[in-house]
Amino acid sequence: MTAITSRLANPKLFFFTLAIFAFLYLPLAVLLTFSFNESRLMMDWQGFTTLWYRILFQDERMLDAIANSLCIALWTTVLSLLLGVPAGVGLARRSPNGNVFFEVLLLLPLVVPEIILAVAFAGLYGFAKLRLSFWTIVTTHVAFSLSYVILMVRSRMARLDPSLVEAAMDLGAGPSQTFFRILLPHLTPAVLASSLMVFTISLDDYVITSFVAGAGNTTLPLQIYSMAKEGLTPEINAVCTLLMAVTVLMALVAQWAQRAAVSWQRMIPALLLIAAIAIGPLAWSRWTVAGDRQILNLYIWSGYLAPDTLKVFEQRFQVRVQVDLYDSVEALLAKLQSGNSGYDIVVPSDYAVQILQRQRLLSLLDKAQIPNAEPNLDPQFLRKPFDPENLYSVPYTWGTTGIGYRKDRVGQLTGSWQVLWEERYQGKIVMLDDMRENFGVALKLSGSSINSRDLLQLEAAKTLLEKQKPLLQAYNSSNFQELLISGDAWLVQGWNGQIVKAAREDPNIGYLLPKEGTTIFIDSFCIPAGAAHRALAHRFINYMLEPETAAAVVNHTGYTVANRAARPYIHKALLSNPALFPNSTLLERCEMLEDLGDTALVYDRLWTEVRSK
Amino acid sequence: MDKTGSPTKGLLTGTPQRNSRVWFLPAFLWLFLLIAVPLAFVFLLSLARRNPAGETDWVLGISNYVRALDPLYLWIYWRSLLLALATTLICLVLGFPVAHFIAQQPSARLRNLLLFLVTLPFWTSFLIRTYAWILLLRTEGIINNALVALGIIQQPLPLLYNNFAILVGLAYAELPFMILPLYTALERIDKSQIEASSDLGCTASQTFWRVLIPLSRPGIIAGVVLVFVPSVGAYLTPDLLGGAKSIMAGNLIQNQFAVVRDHPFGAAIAFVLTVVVLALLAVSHRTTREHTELRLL
Amino acid sequence: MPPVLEFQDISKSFDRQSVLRDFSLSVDPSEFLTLLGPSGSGKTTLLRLAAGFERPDNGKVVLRGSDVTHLPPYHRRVNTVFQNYALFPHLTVAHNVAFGLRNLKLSKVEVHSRASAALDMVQLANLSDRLPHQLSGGQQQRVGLARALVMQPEVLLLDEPFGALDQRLRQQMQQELKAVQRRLELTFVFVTHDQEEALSLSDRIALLHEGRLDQIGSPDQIYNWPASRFAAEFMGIPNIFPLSGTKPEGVGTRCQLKTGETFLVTSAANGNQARFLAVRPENIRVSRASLPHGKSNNVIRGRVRQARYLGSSILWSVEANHLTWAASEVVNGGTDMGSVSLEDEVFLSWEPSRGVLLA
Repeated sequence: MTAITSRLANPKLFFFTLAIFAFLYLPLAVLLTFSFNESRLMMDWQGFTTLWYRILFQDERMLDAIANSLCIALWTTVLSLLLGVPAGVGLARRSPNGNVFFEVLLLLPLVVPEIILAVAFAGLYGFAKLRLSFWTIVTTHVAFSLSYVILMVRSRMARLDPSLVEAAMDLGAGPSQTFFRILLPHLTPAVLASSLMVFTISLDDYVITSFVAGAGNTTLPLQIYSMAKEGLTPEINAVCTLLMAVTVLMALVAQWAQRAAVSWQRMIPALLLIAAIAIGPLAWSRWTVAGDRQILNLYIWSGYLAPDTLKVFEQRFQVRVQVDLYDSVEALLAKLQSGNSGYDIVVPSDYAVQILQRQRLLSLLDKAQIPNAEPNLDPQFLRKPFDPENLYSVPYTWGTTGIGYRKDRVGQLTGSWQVLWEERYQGKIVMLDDMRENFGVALKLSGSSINSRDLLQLEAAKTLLEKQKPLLQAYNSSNFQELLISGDAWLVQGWNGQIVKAAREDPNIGYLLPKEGTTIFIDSFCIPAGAAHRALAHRFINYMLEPETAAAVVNHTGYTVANRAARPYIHKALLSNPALFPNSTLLERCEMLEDLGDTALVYDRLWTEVRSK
Repeated sequence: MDKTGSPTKGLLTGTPQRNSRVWFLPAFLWLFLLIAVPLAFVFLLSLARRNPAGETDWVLGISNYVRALDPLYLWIYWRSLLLALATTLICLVLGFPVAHFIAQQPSARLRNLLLFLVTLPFWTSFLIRTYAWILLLRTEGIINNALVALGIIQQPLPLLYNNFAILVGLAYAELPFMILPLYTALERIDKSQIEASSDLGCTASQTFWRVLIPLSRPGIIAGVVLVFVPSVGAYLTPDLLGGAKSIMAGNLIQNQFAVVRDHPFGAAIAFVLTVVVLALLAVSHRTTREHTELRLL
Repeated sequence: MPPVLEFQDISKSFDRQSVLRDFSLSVDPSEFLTLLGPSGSGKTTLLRLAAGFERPDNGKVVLRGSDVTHLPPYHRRVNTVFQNYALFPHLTVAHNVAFGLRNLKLSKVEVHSRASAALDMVQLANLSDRLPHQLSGGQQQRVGLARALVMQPEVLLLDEPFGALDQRLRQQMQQELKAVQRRLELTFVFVTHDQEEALSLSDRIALLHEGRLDQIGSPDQIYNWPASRFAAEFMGIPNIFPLSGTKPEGVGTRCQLKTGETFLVTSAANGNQARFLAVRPENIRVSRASLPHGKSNNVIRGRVRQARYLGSSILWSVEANHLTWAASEVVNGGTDMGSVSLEDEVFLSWEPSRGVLLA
């Protein structure tokens, strides 16, 4: 009856396993292959290149994030081991049902969904008014990693032959000697396995880290997520491939060390040396550049800066700018409301300024330090309802939400939002992943205001959205323009800047500002209350209001600025682009979003209903 | 003199109880301060209320829980549980044969190598792998292009931004967590029991169902727990691969904190979810006497 | 000479079960003392108390005159050879052996030389770079022995070290062990439940029964002159018969079995408190004819019921007056099948000096 125990006699099992392995490695193979692909889009092969790797090594933000992540992971691993190994050993000696409370505590991080832990951690730090920093991330990571170490060590301890301990003591080894010479070597597999696990989990964590990371502390996953908004390039593939290679290397080293029964004394210094070599240069470059320069912590929408904007600023004022990106107003609000993020400059949208100001999260601007404001800014964008005296905000960019479309697929448009409800485009329509924007469209279609608080109007809007849902491919706020470029979507609801940028890459793409009107947004510079570098922040705002700087932003990003002095420096083609500079009749039908107060809860419930069908 | 009398019951002299406490006290404190306390805080938060400005009013009451148990939300929890269950089943069906195959390999080195290969994908960034699946599953993506090119289908299949994609993404991410505990349990099974079964007249299939499965139960339970729990609270995968079209419990919670800024309500939903998961776990734990923690080694 | 190790009124219980009661014992220098007894008799516990792995509830453990009862194992100059070898799996043979030397603050050269000497003594010098899992059971046990010996302890404790080995290997190891002990003149305390092992190795045997010292003496004494019924049974005497009474007679004692027969016993021990009579099978002669030997022999008539061929001897079961007597007869191999056959009517006779009266 060797049929069960012989692989060759059971080909079905063999091939099934092979298939599963293929499944496991398919994405990785794709990533690896396309990291060498000439084309940016990862659709077809256009030639072998190491371009993306070269870009990676020059991408400071990415390298920063990698160095940061590696450091965090390393510290997390070390601390988790220091705390967890003794704990696992100590626990193993007690009766298994000894302390129920501790057992539960131990399992909590593993059975409570990550999002809940994330919220809890963020709440704790907010409550304790702790400034979010590198160490808050490490502390958090250790908190959810400890259980893995403790459980694995305890499990391994259970397999320890007690007579080994007795033999050691019998031969004269005291408790600490026994621990180091007998216990630790026995625990090596558990220590190695849990180190790898903790290191990887820390390196890879997105959810929790996104809630507890502060200014200038981007980790790799956060960076990747925010890069997605600007369009995923094969640079990410390159990162992934390198990470894989490093991990394989680490695991191989661990395996070799274990098999060669290398003694602890020799292994630990070797490991530290490797770690130092690996992380040292990256960390060094990070920290020496900063040196004794002042740091400005900027929290801004992704895609709102030209390539040189920050570099010029850094050069001129001999400072260093730490940039973190967000892709939704709510993300910004959530971050600031936790009260301790550490940013010096933020760029909230219209109604967000109101909300933040009401919660006293913004500090007053000192107009004297921003001489460029008065002369350069377009009065059309000043003294808006959300900040009538511009005490807290200075407008930066503005834009509209409209329809991006593929001219070669969609033909002539009637100019109405209605096109997004047409059945013939089923599966090719993408809307923003944004409650206010979706309701804005539905409300405009039924002739209501985007800030409506009328329950009947809202119900009607909800019904409209429900009707549309089966036609949708997806809700997407981060890279809808990519979907247009790749042809996966033919019609998207999107913000004009990104669509215009995409249109430059592919002339088949166009932007339409629907005739019913739409959301218009103004994003302004604000300085959060409690910012550490106020003077520098003012200087930055002033710099951004300079004509050339503002124009560079427009020229590069596709978004327009509220800066009239910049016009002479903006490309002619852009100036005449109706997407960026719509005519006044259309403009009149556009509204800015306002804070809804308690009605936000009604919206949320209706939006949840739409989404849960 | 201590009652048990043995100074080396563990490894230190002196009273074992007192000494062992020293060892895990730091870890205990860390966990207590950073997990238990914040979770308690979240619970308190769930009893508070959101005021119109979006801040938290510390007026305690259970109104959030009443809201959280509204049919609309119950339907969402239900869907999330179903999804998690589906993911778990898929992982179980896919993972068991693989674990079985690996456990059968005669050479320990080969087994370790295979296990390593199973977990290697796990070592790369979850986000990146998810984006890779988007590439693969897109309408103009690699899989569709290949299928069309091979003439298997005429029109591209809708593989992305639906439940299928979510399941693929979740199953892909969780599969190693199913395979490892299953492997550990299977590897411990005494070959002679399998031989005894066939000696007593069972066919391969009967042996499988009547001997192999029951004997590997601890591994199955551990694997199920490790896959089910993260799947219930998943929100990135449904967001990215599901096109954000279907809202899961995880998205719901994240929404309350990141968008609507109704923290108390979000906390309430979070707690309802946690209680449900814990209840399910307790039930499954009761049905197996053994400790089924992380039997990964 | 003062004893090297003493147990003074040791009591020890586990989970309310009393394992040792008021146990006292002295171990003399350079002697090979065996703790012999069935499982649960407390012998292993005693060893562990000596080593320091357990603490007694009452009483003292004294090593070379100092009270070590509360000293942890790593401060006692005793070492243990474990039943399951307890070799450190991650260390080579050489490192295992040298393990304890590290704590003695010796120079590297000295450590090396002492370890090599120990390995030579157990004939494992050529395997010094192997890992334990690469060795056979017997080799592993020798490493364990070397590891303990190299420490030059006051007392070496051995806990059923040969329990897991096969017969032939066991006997070989026993001989080697004895040779080592003699050569080094070390004090060995050896635990076993195997009486043959005890008899062949020991200078003295301490027989333990339910946590008490039943009897202590030389192998000859324990074997031939057990003092209690337990001892007699444990040492394998099948002929144990309850007595109804005893009466002094001359230099010996006349004892009467409950079944009526009377016998004369002239060995020392027990006399009036005796409750059982025991006679070793090899001391009983069996023959068809009544022996003309000295009238002082005790004689019984019976019938042969069973015969067990043991290779070098035959064990006859003879039924006499409703009792079964076992008598052993040496045979010379070949076709010698003994002097009697099944169902024969035979006479059993034994000398009064060979009878043992038990308490």
